[in-house]
Amino acid sequence: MIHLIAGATNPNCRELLAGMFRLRHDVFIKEKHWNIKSYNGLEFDQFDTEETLYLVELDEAGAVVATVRMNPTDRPTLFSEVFADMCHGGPPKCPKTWELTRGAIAQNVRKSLHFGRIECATIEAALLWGVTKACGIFGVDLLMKKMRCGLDAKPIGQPRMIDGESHVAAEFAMNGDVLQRTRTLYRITGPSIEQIHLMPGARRAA
Amino acid sequence: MAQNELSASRIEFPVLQSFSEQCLGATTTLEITRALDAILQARGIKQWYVGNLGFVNEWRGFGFDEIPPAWRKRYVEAEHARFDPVFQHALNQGGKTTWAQCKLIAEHLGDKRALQVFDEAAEYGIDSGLILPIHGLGDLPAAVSFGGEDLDLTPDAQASLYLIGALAYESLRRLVVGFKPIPPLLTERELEVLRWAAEGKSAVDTGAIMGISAFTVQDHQKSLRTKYGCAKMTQVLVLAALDGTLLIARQM
Amino acid sequence: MVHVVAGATNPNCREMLAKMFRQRCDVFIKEKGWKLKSYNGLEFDDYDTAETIYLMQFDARDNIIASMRMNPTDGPYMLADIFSSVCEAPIPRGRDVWELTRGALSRNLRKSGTWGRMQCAMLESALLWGATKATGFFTVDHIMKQMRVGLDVKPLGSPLLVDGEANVAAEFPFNTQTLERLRSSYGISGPAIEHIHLMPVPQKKVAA
Repeated sequence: MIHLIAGATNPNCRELLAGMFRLRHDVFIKEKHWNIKSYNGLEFDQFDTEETLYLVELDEAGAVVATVRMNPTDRPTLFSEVFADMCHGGPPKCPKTWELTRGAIAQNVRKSLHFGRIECATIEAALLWGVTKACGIFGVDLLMKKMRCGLDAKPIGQPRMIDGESHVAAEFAMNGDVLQRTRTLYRITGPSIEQIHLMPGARRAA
Repeated sequence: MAQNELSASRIEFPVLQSFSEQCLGATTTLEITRALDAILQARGIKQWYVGNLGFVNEWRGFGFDEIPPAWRKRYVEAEHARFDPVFQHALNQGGKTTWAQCKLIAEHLGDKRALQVFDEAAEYGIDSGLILPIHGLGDLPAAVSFGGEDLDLTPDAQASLYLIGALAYESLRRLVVGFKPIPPLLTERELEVLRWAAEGKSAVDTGAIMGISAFTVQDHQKSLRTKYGCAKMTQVLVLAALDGTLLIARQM
Repeated sequence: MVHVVAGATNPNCREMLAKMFRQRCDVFIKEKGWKLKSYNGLEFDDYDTAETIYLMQFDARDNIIASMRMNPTDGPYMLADIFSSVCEAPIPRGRDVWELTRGALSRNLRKSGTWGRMQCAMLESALLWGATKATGFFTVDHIMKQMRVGLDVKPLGSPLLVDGEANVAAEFPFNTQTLERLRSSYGISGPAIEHIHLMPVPQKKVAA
């Protein structure tokens, strides 16, 4: 069951968000030893804001098993603030382009096909928000996996060795055709997102 | 001069960018391999391979290469593939690394036959390179390998070579294999049941071979049918033969 | 709150489905006087199948306030089965062509933004399922409204008078541009859909 949550401070999703920050702590700090801060076993930073969107996948027991963070690039992003030099000609800045960061899958399900489901959910979210492009910094292995999933990866900067892996800033088009390709690959027929939690008050338009 | 040579293998962003566009827009594999070869030759990489791995008699999948013919002939005749630490590293699903690293390990192990491969390669003017093993997503083992004479492989150069190899492999794969469903993930037991079913064994026979009951075998068969979305085991066998799963089952 | 429910027989959504069938009875039979069959105050027919996708909108007290039925047209559907005579152009067909029927809105809400949210939710579902075209038999009034909010409606035949109202078979494309136009027409910024209830996969418990 994949939830889409708008806002790191969404008051309707405190538990889901905490579970997600905990998974990030487990994956990025405990397991991968990234040099990032955490607070009481929860990992979050200045790019977890009210404008941030999250995909959070739960298993049948209700534990968080996968997540992705999505930030519109017309606001400060990891790209613009930290890795600007990895993009040729400056980081992308567009409300229709998302930066994808902190993609994590729990260790115990990593060998399963969860990757495909969360990948589909990312494109679905983009379609729902009218976003046409995603970007981020990816290891070459992950980049290949994404290309094999049907995404058209385009490098947007000079690759660089980080922790023994070649990393590169890249962008992908997000649209219905790509979604269809990814679904075919993973034998997924319908939507992957099942619940959408908007920030309360955000939709009191019109 | 030395400084110049030092950055010789690095691929600058504009070249990468136009290569990635060529890759995504290509309608024939030749467009990709030509563009790749041009970029690599300009950087002293005389030998390259992009594709699946396997020994000659078990080889499946696709492969594109540029290898000096004399060296290729020698490599096949001497059955170097069985001892080549670089090839073995890729086949055993190792990580991205340089040939120098593989050689270091062979020296450490005192593996003379492995070192012989390096020595002979050097005679053909190929003494350094890197390897990008590719695995996962239920795919057949594959790799990208680049080699040349006295290549300078700074981390920056490596990063760009790995990326260009990755782009080449994935776009070639798209043209050759296309977008097909990823083979379902099977348990070891299911693979074993699949293997015996392919040899025409009944559930009872399979149970006897595996030391489990015929009912359990049928359970595994049912789960195989569900995973492949088929009504009959024969359909499962056809699909498993096509997606390479049967090959994996036979190698167990 | 808009829910998308896949399948008229979805076992996880029995209550919601019953509420919708009751609303349809109230709107189409009691209020509009359509000659449809109903069963214990619930209106449903042969086109409510396991393949059907429904949109339902509920208020804060969980009362249903709007609903819509969407059928992929690779199986039996109304326009082909019943209204084939009103289509002069070839009848649209395919997994990615959805027929829209039974759009129902509670009477007291007909001037609010409820329908806008439903229209957006319809387009969002289409994008999520990969549908590219909508078809249906609509009143001319409805078509004018749809065009005004940004849908590119194309008639498929000549209008026909039904119960004193001009109706016409029509189609319009589902795409991201249309969704954007709809959203700006209705002043909606994010997605309208909040819950998606897929048909549960039978015997999902396979040894993994």
